[in-house]
Amino acid sequence: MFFDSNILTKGLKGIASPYLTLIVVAFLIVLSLIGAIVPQQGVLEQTSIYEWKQQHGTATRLLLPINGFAIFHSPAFLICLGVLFLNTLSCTLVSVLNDGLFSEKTLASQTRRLGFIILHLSILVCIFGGFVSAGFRMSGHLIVTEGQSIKDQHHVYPKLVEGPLRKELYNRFSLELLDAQIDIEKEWFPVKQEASVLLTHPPSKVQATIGFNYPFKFNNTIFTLREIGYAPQIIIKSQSRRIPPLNTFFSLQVWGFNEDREHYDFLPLPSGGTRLVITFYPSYEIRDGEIIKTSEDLNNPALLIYEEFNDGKQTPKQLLPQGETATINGLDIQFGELRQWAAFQVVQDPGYIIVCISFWFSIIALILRYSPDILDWIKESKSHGTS
Amino acid sequence: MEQAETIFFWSTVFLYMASFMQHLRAFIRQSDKGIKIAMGMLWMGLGANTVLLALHWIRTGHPPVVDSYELQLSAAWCTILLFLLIEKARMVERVLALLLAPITFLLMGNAYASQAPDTPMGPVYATPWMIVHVTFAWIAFANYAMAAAGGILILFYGTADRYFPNRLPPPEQLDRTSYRLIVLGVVNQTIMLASGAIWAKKAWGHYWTWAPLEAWSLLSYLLYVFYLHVRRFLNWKMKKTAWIAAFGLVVLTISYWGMKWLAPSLHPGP
Ligand code: HEM
Repeated sequence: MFFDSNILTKGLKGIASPYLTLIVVAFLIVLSLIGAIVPQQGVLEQTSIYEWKQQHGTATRLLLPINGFAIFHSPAFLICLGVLFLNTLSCTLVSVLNDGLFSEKTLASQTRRLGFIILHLSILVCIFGGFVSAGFRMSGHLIVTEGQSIKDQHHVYPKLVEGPLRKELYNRFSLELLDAQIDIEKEWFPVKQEASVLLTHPPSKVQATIGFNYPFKFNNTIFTLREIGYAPQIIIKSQSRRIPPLNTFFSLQVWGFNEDREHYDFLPLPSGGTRLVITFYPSYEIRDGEIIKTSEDLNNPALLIYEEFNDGKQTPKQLLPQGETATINGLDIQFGELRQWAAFQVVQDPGYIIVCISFWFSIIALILRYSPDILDWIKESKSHGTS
Repeated sequence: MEQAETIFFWSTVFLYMASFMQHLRAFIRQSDKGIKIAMGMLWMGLGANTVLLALHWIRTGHPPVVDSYELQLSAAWCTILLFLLIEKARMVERVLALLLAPITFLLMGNAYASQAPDTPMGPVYATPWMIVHVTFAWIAFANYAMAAAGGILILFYGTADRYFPNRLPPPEQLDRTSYRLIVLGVVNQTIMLASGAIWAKKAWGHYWTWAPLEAWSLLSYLLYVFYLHVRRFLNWKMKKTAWIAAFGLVVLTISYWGMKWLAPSLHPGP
C-alpha cells in the first residue's frame, strides 16, 4: 500500500469507485435506449423526426430539454462518457499503484489480472479515439463524371462534413475521374468496380486505381469507390418554349444491385414546374410493347424519357437510342455521348487507428481475462460434467 | 422458396418442435431415455436445417448472410449446433434445450414472415470482414440465447420445482453456466462489434454512425457489461442476473432483426 497516505491516491479512489461505474453504465444504458427508440438527427430525415414529434407530443416535451433527438451528442451523454473515462482511468491506476502488475500468486490469476488491466486501458483508448474522430474527421461523398474533375462539377454534392476541431480545409485537393469500369459477373461477390483517377494536392500528384472495397490513401485521406453509374449527355434545344439550351452529362442514380440495377433520375427543366424523367437501358428489347432491360452490357444503349408536370400528368414515353433526337412537348432532346460517373467516399479520420488499436487490445485482453476460466470450465466438464 | 427448400424448412420446424414436445414429456416423466430421444430429434432437426441452408445457398449463389430471412435461419442453425456440441462436451445442461427450442421457433417464424424476393449480394460484402462479423454475430447470439435459457429456468425454478420436483439441476449450477455463457458471449460480441466497425469503415467510411442499429448494439453490449460488473461488485446472482440475461437477449434480438420494425438503416441484411 505504497500510495495509501497520498492525497492523490485518496482523490483517485473517490472517482475510482466501481459503484460509480455501475451508475454511469446504467445511465448510458438509458441514454442509448432513448437513442435507439427516438429518431436521431443526422441519421433520419428531418421529416420523419417532425412526424414523430407530431405523433408523440408528451414524449417530445420530455425529450427536448435533454437533447433527446441528438442524444449521442447531448451534454448528458458526453458527460457520462467523460465520467466513465475518468472512472476507468482512476480505477485501473489505483489497482496498479496499490497492487502492482503481477502481485497475484498463480499464473492463472496473473493472466486474469493482466487481462483486466489491458481491457480497461483499451476502453480508455477507445473513448479517446472516438473523441478524436468526432473532433477532427472529415468525410462525405464526391460524384465525378469521366473526363471531369470535382472542380468542374456544378455542385459538390453532398458536401464533405468536417469535425469542429479541424484546421485544414478539404477543398485543397482535386480529383479527376479518368475512367470507370464495372464488370458484373454471376459469382459469390458479383460486381467488380474500379475507377482510375488523378489526385492532386499541391505539390503532390498521383494517378491511381480505386476499387470498391479497396480504399486508396493519398495525403492521409482515404478514397473509396462507392458506386458507378451512367451519365448520358443530354442536349436540349427548345423549338417553341422559353427554355435556355442545355448540354450536360447528367448522372443518373443507380437503384438495386448487379444485373437488377436500374438507372433513372429526374432532370428539372429551367422553366420551372416540370421535369424530365430519364431512364437508361444499357441493353433492351421490346416485348408486348414494353421495354425490357436485357442486361447490363452496353449492346444497344437507349434512354426512355417523358416530361412530368406538377400535377402529376405526363407526356407519352419516348425511346431515344444513343445519337438520336426526340421531340417532347416542343423540346428537341438529343442523347449524345455516354459516359460513366463514379461516387467516392472521402474520409480523413485520425481517430480510427486509435479505435482500431483499442479493438485489438480489448480482444486480446478479454481472451487473457477469461481463458483461465474457460479452461477451468472445460476441465470441470471433463471430470464430472453438467448435464 | 423453392419446393425442396419449403420441404426442408417445414421439416426443420417440425423436428425442432417434435424434439421440444418429446423433451417436455420426458422431463415431466423423468425419463432419461426420453430425453436422449429428444436430443436425437434435435440433431435431426439440425440436419434438416443444414440441408435447408445448403439448398438456399446453392439456389441464390451466395452464403446465407444477406437478408433477414437467411440470417435468422443461420442464427437458428448456429444456436442449435453450438448447443449440441457443447452439450455433448457436457459443458452445459441438457435441459436448456427446453428453452432454446421456443427461441428457435420464434426465429424460424420471424424468418418465415420476413421472406422477400432474393436479394443479390452487393459488392459491400466482398470482404473477409463480412465473414468474421457474421460468424461472430451468430456465435454471440448462440451464447446469449443459451445464457438466457439458463436465466429463464432460474426465474421459473421455484414453480417448476414445485410441480415437477428434482427434475432441474440446482439453480446455482444453472446460474454458473449462464454466467459462463455470457462471458463467452461478451468475448464474441466484442469481436463482432470490432470487425463490424472495421467493415463499415471500409465500406462507408464511418466505423460508427449512431444509427439505430448501432444504438441497439451498444445498448445490448452495455447491458452485458453491466451484468459482469454487478455480478462482481454487488454480488448479484441467480434471479437478479437472470433477469438481465433474459432481457439482454430481447435487446440483442431487436438489434439483430427488429430494426425493420423501427427505422430504416444503412446496415446490410436485417
Ligand atoms: C464499457 C466499459 C467497461 C467494460 C467493457 C468493462 C469490462 C469488464 C469486464 C469484462 C470485467 C471482468 C468481469 C469479471 O471479472 O467477471 C471487468 C471487471 C472489472 N471492471 Fe470493468 N469494464 C468497463 C468499465 C469499467 C470501469 C469504468 C471501471 C472503473 C471502476 C471498471 C472496473 C472494473 C473492475 C475493478 C473489475 C474487476 C477486475 C477483476 O478483479 O477481475 N470497469 N470489466
